[in-house]
Amino acid sequence: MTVNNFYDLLNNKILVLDGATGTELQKSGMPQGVCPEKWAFDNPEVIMDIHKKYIDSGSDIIYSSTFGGTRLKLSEFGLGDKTYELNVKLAKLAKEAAGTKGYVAGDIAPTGKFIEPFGDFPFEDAVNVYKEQAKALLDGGVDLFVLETMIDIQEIRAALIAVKEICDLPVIASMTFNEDQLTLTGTDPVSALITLQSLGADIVGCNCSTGPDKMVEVIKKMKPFAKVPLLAKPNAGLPKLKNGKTIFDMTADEFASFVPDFLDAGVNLIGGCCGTSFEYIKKVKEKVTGSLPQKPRIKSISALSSARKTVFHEIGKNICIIGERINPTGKKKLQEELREGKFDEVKRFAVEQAQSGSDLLDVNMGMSGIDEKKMMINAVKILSSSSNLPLVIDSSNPEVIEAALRIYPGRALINSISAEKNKLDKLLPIAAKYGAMFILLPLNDNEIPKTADGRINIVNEIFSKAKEYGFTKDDIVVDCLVMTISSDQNAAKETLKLIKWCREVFKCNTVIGLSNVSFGLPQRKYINAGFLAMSIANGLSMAIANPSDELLMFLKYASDALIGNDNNCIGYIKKFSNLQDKKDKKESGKKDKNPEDMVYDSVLDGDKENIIEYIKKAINNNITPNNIVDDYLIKAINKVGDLYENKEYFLPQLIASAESMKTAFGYLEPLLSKKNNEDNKKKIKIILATVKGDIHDIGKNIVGLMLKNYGYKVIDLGKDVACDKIIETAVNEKVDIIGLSALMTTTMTEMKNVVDNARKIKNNIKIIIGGAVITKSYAEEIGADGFAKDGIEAVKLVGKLLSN
Amino acid sequence: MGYRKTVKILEHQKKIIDKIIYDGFSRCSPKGVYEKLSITGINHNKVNLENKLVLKGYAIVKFLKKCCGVFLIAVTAGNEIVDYRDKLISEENINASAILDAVGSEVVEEYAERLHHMLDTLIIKTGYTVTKNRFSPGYGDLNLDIQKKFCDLLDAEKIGISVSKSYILIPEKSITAIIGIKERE
Repeated sequence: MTVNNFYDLLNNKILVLDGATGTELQKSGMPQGVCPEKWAFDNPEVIMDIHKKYIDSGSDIIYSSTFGGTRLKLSEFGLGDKTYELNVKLAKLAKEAAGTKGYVAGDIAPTGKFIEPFGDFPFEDAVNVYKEQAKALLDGGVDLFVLETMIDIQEIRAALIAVKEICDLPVIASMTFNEDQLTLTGTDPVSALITLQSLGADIVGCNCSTGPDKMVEVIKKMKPFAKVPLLAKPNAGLPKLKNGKTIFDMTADEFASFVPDFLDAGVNLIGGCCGTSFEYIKKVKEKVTGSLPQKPRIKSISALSSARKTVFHEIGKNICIIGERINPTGKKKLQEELREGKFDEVKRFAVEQAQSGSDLLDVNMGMSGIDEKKMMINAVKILSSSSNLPLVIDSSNPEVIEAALRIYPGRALINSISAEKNKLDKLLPIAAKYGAMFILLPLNDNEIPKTADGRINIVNEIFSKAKEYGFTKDDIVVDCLVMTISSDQNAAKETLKLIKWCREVFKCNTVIGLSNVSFGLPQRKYINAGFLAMSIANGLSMAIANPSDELLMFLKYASDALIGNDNNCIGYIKKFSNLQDKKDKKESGKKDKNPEDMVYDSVLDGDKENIIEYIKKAINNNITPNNIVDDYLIKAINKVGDLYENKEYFLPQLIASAESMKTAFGYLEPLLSKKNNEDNKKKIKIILATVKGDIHDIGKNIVGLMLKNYGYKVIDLGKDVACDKIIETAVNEKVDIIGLSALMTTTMTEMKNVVDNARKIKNNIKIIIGGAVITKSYAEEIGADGFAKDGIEAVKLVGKLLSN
Repeated sequence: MGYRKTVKILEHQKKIIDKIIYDGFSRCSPKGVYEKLSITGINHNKVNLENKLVLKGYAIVKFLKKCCGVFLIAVTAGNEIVDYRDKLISEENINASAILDAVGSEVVEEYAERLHHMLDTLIIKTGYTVTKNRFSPGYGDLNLDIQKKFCDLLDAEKIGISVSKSYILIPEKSITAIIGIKERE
């Protein structure tokens, strides 16, 4: 069946799929623990009977019984060598059963491996595993393919690429979404749809995991953005436990009662997954009969996706910032790292740009002395798991672009395709194969046209070629070419003209790389920001820029609001109302409060940056350092302790407060010691250590910080500390208290060892213990003097022990 | 870390924490391995798995009572998050290190949760399902000393997990667990 035939079919009616097969095989006597594919192969009459019953119940398409038919799954039963044989035969059996009454979809499902970048199984190996199965199914005569129950966008991409590379049959791509409407690797329905339909899936949908009620919501989310028909194959409700067995308890009537909701949501193919049977399909068929299908609402879409996010590019909406920083040009540190094969800077730029408002990340690995293709693949892998932003693949080498698009688990934007002969011919088919959008660079082998008119000619030339590959205006973004105004006075004007033409006449998205415009001028940021504002006024949709440039970003928000891109100025208000609040608060605080109260507030707010400044001012106001400690710092940290115990503060706030207090102490200590020499001599010493064998010390560090804030001298011996070292330090340093930490049942026994040995040598020493698995009764059992569950309690416990 | 609805927090404080969390996430590279094994024998205090792994204890027997097989899983959030946290500890940045520590724990737990769900999705179609809970070495009376054999069997080394002398998984943000497989009606 060709894709067009398939679409013709779908234009006229809702197609009904089959229901569960695995459970039917079990009902027919398949024993526990056997390979279902092999058992069906050995019992052809049983599987054919099941297929036939689904056809008789009204299925227009049945799935071949090859869910576990990849070499990897079959190998679990020692049947890897039978991959071809089993798949061919099972496809043939399904075809024979369907006869002329229905179509057979070759069923392809997860391999059970984690594919890179989310796992360690090589992507190309996954493609090959799927190719092997798909070829066998093709030889078995299937009419189309279905990739189903896929839980990882990268794995379904591997399967889709595999099938597309061996034949032109229609392919259904169906993923499984959890109740939170995300796949295993965190992909939402819309991002899955955008990625799969652009990569060439002819139908997109979802199956398994949830009941029909939840699945309707997934279809509703997808429909507005789908240029392909949609499929739903839900379970018969959620699995429930009954008498120790898991069952799906939704009846066939209940199940079928959701059919009208699915049709309203825009589903074109519907069937059943786990817990459904012939009866369910019969009822579904009754419900769909006579209903007319909803065709896809759109023909193309301007949208880019990552594994976890979609960014839409509707003309007339807020402009989109492409973060330009992941590019070694002019960045020494990044260059050094890339030469060593490191990606820390790349990751840092990704996080930083995302936080300062980038919508997309440009990735460029072009630099002498490194293997650009290899580095690009690695960068794409790292960024697609560490960042949510869709990527812009930036390279002058078509091979590098292809390698990046192949591995990227989303729909990327190519930067860029020009009319240069060798690039245009190579890159258009690559862009088409992977369904990428591309930046159209209006220059050719001969020239970079100076005028807008010259550039318009090239835009038309490239677009007419791109149309042959199925591209629409939604798929392209015209780079309006920014030249330097210091060398050509009219450069900016021509760019603006082209932006306006693209927006008003040609009607497509546009992009500019800003910084070129100001080259050679002083204070370039003003020119850049001004030019961005003017470009937005002329209809610009994207800018490649450094999002950490505040002036630029502020003008972007202002321009979007002014030109009407920013609906009700929501984006502007969201960005700036907070800034205003913060400033107001700071200023009013400064006016109303004296510096010593600000010291108190700084501890409460965990503000270690400003606390010393306030202390200095307080001292100038004749507040003694001792007063500051007793009346402000200690009071504040006690208040923090109360807030924490009342659950109004959570741990990071407690620690931030303790850290600002520590900063204050660090400053005040030398001032105190002059007056309080005697006090200082009596200072209580406490050892803290995580016991031998244990490496967990986060909790112990927090306890240490809290104790220091109450004026104790803390000797932190670190983690995995031997008993001897603890005792030796206790003796040498004349320590008053030992605090031990352990997180595990296996290492907590070491605490007893320390207690016993310490008592032998220094009978009066106090020992306190804590850690996730430690209890009060354990402390009593091993003869420790006390147990504290957190830093606050540790401070109280120490106080109590000392007063006794 | 004790965050709940009663917590009151200033906007800028929240921003600082969010930034550390975000940074933490980007330093996690969760990976997992699993192996499906049949239960070949079960008595009052031990469960035999093919490949000769024996799970000893009353608690694990109770947990796997109705099961015919198990998935053994090992997952990790990777080295980088732990190394980075330790770097911050050495710089005495206790707050950020504590937050990063929690991020690592969350990531590895969530990953285990998702893997658990994936295994269920894969197996439910063949007429089986998995236990709702996971059981890890160290729970109840299942000794931690099984960690080494457990990880060897899974070849957990290939996702970077090793076991210390005191049976601690390295990197620290790693989990091993047993998920039961039982028949579905």
